[in-house]
Amino acid sequence: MKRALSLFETVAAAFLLAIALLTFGNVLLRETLGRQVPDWFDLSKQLQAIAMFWGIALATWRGSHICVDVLWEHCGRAGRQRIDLVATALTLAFLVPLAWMVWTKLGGTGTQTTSDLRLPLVWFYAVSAAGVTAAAVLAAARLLVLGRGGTIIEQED
Amino acid sequence: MDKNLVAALGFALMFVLLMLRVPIGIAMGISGVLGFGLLSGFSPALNLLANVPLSVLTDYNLSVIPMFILMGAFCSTAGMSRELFDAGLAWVGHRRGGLALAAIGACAGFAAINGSSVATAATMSQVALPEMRKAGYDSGLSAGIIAAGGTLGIMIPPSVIFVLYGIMTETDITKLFFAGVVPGLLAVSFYSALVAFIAHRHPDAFPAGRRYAWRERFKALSNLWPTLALFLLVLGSMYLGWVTVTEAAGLGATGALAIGVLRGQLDRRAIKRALIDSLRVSSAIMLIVVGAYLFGYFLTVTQFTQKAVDLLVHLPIGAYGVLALVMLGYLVLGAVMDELAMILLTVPIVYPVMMTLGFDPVWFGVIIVMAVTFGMICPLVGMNVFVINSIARDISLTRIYKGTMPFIAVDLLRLVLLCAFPVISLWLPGQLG
Repeated sequence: MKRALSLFETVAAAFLLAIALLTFGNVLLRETLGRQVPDWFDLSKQLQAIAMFWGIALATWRGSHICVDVLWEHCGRAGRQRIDLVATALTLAFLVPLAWMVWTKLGGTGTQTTSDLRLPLVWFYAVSAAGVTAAAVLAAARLLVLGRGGTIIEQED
Repeated sequence: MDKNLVAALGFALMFVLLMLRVPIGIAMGISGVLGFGLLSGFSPALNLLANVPLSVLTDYNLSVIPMFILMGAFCSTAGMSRELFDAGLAWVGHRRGGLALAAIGACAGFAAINGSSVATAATMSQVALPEMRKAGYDSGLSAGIIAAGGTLGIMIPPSVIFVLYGIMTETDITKLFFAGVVPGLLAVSFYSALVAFIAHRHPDAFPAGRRYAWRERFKALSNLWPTLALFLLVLGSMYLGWVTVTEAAGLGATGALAIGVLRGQLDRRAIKRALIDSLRVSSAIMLIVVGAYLFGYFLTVTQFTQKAVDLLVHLPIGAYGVLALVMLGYLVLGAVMDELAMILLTVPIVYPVMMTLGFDPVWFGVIIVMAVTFGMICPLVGMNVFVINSIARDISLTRIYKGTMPFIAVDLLRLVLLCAFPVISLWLPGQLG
């Protein structure tokens, strides 16, 4: 599982590089030849959404989202575990309807395509929806691990 | 249900969730969707979930955030932060407090190539803090210097907070970036003067280091060209109107990668590490943005924003009285809340008040970044302090907070100056035309 998550994270992170290169390539083409990279705008947007949804999924698993630690910092081990359990359960309660609604949105995308290359937007939305579904599944898995008294290393590589 | 009651319940729920360590974005999202559902029905609330996250995360304007974070990650992984510190060390390390001055200078330099306060503090904790401690500097004060120096990350452009403020208020981000330059340099001057003062009063706190030969000094200085080149690439291309802010961020990230690869400082593994770090930080920030948008829709249906604006505008304390009250509010919020959440939650309410009272939007952007700065280094939730403590575990939070206190005092003075003399912030953007 660790290896699979690491692979997903690397691919999602590579999308950030793709956005940077697309932007750079487009500025270069525009300023030198007065042309643009086909679909640079749509591709950048969609790659960003995919990267972020998958990034959120992995952060959910590790518990590395930005949180307010005031109470948690002042609790003992048992107290911290209980707080983490409640926080993860609430996170799951948010992510399940979110995943469901993103899939619903995907169903309504119909035949929409990108502007230049006419790539179906449903492809990109599906990968994003898979990311938010992964977030919900990983929140459930985290809940299970924490419920059994286990721990998840936050910044595993 | 009564809208005021639901608004109050929404805020209360959000704070309870925050205290329970629910991720900030999700706490805002749950409160926003539930509150919206109570007032408008749960079917429209679920529609919010279908539309808002996708529309936020596919917003091209917001790609400026991951791109500037990526640029900072490449620079940090390539060791540019170390080169900045080494240059400062070579030039002023032989003076009492020289390492502290080098650390402040390095924080300012690193702030010019990354947009995050926490990233600046984290990087400098690893680069400068061990050197300062090895040289016999007081560890609490050293950590305080890094925490305060880290705040330069959001004042000196590029800055993620300026980007968010600009997007939310439709204020020109290029002007905001340029407005942060002089207040950022002012901070460097104030912090440096404070270090010199402490070194004069307590010579033992900051022992002098070795003197570097002129050849070594110039060699260290020559290593700074990548930082300067990137800063000029980003700010210069925006200044000349060649690119938008979003494009400048993409150029900066690509430029940092190219420089790192060409200098042999970024191999495949280092690039992967920088990319993954950027993804982690960016997705954590973007989740907060999604949550803030969801909560924002809830606030809109409660009409809380309009009521708060009406209340504040009609207070019989004058425009500057309201500004002082708002600043006080930020100080209180900063004690319990992350800076991004603070900006995303409060700007929709505070910005219309300030505009109605006749304040300049660019100037207020600088003031709000200053206000957030306090939250980064003040108890209870000083993010920079937490980051430094997580890296240097043997320096207690209390000692670091104690070390930040003198810097908070000079920051207060700087805030008063920026409020009294808006020209400090507005002169440079005024030159843009």
